[in-house]
Amino acid sequence: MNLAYQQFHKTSPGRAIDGRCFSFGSSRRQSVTLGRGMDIFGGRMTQGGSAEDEALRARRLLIAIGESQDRLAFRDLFDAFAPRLRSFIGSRGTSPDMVEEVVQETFVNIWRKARLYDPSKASASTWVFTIARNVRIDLLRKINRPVPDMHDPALVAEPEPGADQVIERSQEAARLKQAIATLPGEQQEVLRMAFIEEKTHAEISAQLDIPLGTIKSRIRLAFGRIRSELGDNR
Amino acid sequence: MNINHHPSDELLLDYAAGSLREGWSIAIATHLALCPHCRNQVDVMESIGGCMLDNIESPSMTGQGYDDLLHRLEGLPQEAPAAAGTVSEKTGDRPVFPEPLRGYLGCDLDSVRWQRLGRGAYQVLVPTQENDSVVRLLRIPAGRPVPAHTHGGLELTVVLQGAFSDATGEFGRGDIQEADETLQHQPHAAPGADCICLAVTDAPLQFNSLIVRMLQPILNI
Repeated sequence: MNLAYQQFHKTSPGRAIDGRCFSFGSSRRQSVTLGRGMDIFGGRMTQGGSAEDEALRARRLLIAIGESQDRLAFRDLFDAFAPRLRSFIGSRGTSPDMVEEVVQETFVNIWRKARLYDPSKASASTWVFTIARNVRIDLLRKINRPVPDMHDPALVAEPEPGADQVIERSQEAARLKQAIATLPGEQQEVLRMAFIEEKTHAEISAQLDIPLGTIKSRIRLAFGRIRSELGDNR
Repeated sequence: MNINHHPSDELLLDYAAGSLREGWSIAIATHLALCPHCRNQVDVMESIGGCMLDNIESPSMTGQGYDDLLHRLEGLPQEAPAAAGTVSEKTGDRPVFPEPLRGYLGCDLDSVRWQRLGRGAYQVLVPTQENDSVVRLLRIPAGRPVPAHTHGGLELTVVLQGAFSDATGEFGRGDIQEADETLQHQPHAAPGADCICLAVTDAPLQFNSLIVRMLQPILNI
């Protein structure tokens, strides 16, 4: 177990409005008692753990970054995700410089937004994926991705998630992986092109020279299968 | 509120994966603001993106680029979560247009500067950065028909107030209609309130009426 995770790093009050700055000079360490359940996630990210263990560790790292600006956790998260992000973004024909820029800005955003991470909404990988996607749209297309505002009074809210959903999202990642792996190859291919090559379904149809209707039905079949695999929670 | 018409899986997938262009994304995001069911669908799709990121092969280099990153982070504050209760809970002053649409327009319904289209119909164009589609608000007077038309390409329509119906069903607040070349329709606004919709198109509508076709360049629709 890595002791660093049991330490609560506090920065001195900075000029930032909420006082939570990234700063080297002024940090001091303070040991505090961990919250309930924290000790089971104490290990560093390691290769070879089960998918569910890795998902829980990544979640733990994100929470540590958000709650206590834990720089060791941030470094571990970087080591775990930066190489994969480079491959992910680099497989779209983006120039190496731009790939690096997207990776760097993604981690800047991870740092800035870590306190907003909600483990009941998304696994850590999913959250990192959405940040990288938005950074890429911002940097390459120069637009802000149009999204609903969760604090908009006009938003139609959904019921609050149940207390057990926090665990379910991490377990769900493992179930989802299994569900994707058992999809027919042609459906997996469409999902891969959509997410990794970032092609629209119309572009996938054109590139594979397969009718649009066939691509649409592959997408619908894939999601039908995945939804039924994830069960009633969705 | 009961939403009966949702975007197709393929449009939600394009949106979740990040490939959907801006104009269409405004329509999808506006529907999402009004439809928790589809927000949940997008969450599922995003988690597929998370899985793909987990599964991708990568050389196991660690640390590369980390020093650069630290420089960028120096002095950078973390965003605080929005305090609970900052949103007005008062009923009755809910905006008609949800975000992101309200931000694009810079106002809510009461301040829209409508342009006359004739026959009691109005429109206002919604400015976008990516110009491969045209985004507009349409206001069709209650109880009146829109001239019969087909579509040169795709048309997405999200109802924000009132309702309209055509041969494919009835569409109320939050409902989205995905129309393409194969749909020839004559939408009819429901009686009661004027029907206000967000409409996104990538090609001019093709009206059956010769007079309407002649007026199209003037009306800018």
